[in-house]
Amino acid sequence: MSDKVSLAAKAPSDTQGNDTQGSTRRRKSWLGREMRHFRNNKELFLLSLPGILYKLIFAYIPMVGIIIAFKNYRYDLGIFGSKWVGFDNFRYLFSTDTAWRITRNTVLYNVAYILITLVAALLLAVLLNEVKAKWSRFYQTALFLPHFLSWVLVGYIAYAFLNHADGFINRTLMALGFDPVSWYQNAGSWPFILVIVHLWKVIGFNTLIYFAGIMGINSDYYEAARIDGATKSQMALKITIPLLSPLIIILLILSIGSMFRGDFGLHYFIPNNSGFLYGTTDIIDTYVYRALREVGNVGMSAATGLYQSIVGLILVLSANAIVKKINPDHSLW
Amino acid sequence: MGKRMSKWLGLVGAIGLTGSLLAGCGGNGGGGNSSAASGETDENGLKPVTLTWYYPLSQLQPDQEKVQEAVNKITKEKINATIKLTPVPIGDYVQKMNTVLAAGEKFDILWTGYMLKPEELVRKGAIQPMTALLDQYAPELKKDVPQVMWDGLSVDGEIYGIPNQQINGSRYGFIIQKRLLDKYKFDAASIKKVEDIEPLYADIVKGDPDIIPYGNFGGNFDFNAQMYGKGYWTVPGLDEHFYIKKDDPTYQLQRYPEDELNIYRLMNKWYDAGYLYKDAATAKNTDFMAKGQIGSEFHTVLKPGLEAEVKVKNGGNDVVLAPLSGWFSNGYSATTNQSLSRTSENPERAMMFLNLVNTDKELYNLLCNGIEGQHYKKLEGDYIEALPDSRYRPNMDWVFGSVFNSYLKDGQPENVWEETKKINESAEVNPVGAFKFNSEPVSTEIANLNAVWDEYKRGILTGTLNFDETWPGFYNKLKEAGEDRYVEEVTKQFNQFVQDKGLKK
Repeated sequence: MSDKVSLAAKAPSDTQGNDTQGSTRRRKSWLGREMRHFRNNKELFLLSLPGILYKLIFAYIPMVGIIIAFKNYRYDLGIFGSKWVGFDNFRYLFSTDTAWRITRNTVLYNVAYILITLVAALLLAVLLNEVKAKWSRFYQTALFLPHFLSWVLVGYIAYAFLNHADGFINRTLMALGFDPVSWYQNAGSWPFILVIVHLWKVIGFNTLIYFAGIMGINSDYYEAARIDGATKSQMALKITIPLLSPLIIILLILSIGSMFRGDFGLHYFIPNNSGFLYGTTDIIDTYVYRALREVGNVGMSAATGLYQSIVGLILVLSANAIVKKINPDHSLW
Repeated sequence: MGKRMSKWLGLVGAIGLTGSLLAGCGGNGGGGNSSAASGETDENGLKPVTLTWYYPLSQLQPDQEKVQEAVNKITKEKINATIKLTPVPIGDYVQKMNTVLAAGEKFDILWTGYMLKPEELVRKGAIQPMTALLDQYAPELKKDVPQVMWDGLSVDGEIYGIPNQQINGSRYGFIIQKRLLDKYKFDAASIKKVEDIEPLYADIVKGDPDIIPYGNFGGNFDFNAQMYGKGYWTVPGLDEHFYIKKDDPTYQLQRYPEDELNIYRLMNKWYDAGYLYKDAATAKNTDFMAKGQIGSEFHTVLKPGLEAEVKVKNGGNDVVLAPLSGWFSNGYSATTNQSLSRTSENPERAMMFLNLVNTDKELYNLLCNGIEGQHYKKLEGDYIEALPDSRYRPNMDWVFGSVFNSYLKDGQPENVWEETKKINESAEVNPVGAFKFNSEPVSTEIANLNAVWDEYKRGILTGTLNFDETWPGFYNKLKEAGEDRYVEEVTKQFNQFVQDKGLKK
């Protein structure tokens, strides 16, 4: 995806304006400029070609399938032959007040994930930069390891902690003289549990990105600061964070785009699909799974995907617009 | 956007791409085709063809290739066909088949059944009718299978599957560990109705705190009003909450009758008394089964030879069956069958092959148990024993064909298949068993009702939730999810069915 965006970024920023004017002379000069641009950067374009092709084949061409959301899909009639049904496939998502609950949960959880991960990963990246290289590698690996575990496995690890009779937490509680808690029936505690589990799993990956960003900062800044007698925390706040802010904003905008797309594995396997917890753990993705598991309706699934994508697009566009307003230099386009 | 941003974007992209490359692992594209193989026409004038067959297995077998070769030796000779066996892990089967079918892949035979209902595949246009093919190429098979099964596999007068014959009847009751009966001097035969088991449970709670008296984890509607012995028939193919009264000549549909709700109240009472596991609504049955901690279970198919099956799973404890009903049948609910794909280019040959699987004992047992001497050894009579560390042991006879052709295993009585056939023939049959609901007009409502039930199901079935406190709010949610429209549509179609069948006098 980066290839595509950075390509667009290289084009002079006033091209869009010209396009709407539509005079042939200007169009020609625009085309000429693009061609010249292309010739000058032949190697770079060539390098980005695999990425572009990948996106084209796996993201753009399949978009034709969007029409399935408006059809009563039958295998023998195919995508184009099936009957149009208008917005019928969307009806199940909005016909009950569950729609409100799952939308709220999806958005709030993702806001919490994004903010907490951002703060924690930044902090760890700064700290990682302070430890000796030998240890830094150890910490990186240790932090990164959960990234490779599947949610199913993490679900079992969580179960080992939260199990009613033999769970680690309940055993500890009992040893300390407290009553055990039926975690899988106690909806109130799940926002915290999910945030902790999520943080544990993704923190390594995000820390690594910020750490790589910090490595790229010119060490002259730190040297100058040290000569002037700055403390470590001053250096982190006055040099590292401001210089990383473009990276932080990119990651923020990208994650806002997927804010409407919950993490199915996390919300399905960690709460053990317990009915008691749906109030606080159910998100759009888990609800759709439950609702359509037995019905197996392709059109309704497609409708959900389309709905999530459209809201995601709107969120990205507005996030970018807001960033642009505050600091045009930091917006994505 | 400035140059600085693009530099950062490159970094994000590079790391992201590496991450996704590391995390992603490509699935294998198991595409099959049924193109004609090279070779010559055999003496019956049959051109050589290749048939692809998808079916689920609980575990893929190391010696799959060897068995396939042995199968092909038989099929090549008899019907000049090469069979490509394509087992899929059972957990992935539905998803995999939906992908294969949606992609329009060319293949011939697929297993259909309780997970992948033939009726739904018909409505999606995925499988083809086979009535004419059956009559022409498999007349013996057609005669061998009872009509009630063909009825269960018919949609709008056309047959869409060949059933893998096995037991087709229900008899509900308890499975109780013998050591507990002995210890508490309790006579299993004294249980005439569900509540009669309460004294035993009370003793177990007092005397064996490590045993879970009643192993109910809310997975199934074990006690529905039909099983509970209050004189109901379930209307099949719906959500298990529609009934008719057995003595009702007007065939009035009953929705959530009080008798059903009383079962949930009883569960609540049992839960409070400690007869169920405290975390039953979230724990898994399998965590306790193998340790022999499940004192008793409720089961709806107390079939011949079941004691041996249970003993293997529950840590080797002997069990006693306590049936509470006679044999009955809700018709055939298309539990396990083979269907023909719409994309098959050789449906005639596929039918010949399926006929062979269901009539050729050698071929069928090859698929079920592997090669004699390599994977199993023959004992006396029809009994066989798997060799230790056998590299082909699917243990899923019901996936391939009629189990009545299978060799016997330890613990199965010698006459098990005759007994089973007898049950299939003599069971009391649900008068509305052939009803088929077309769910399309209310698929939105069904999706939402499923989601609501999922939220409460295990809590209510295990008695964890106090039923009388929960029901009003729960019922309200069902109403919101479209309960009324669903009931209306079911009633309409059901009344039509009763009228068409001429049931109402």
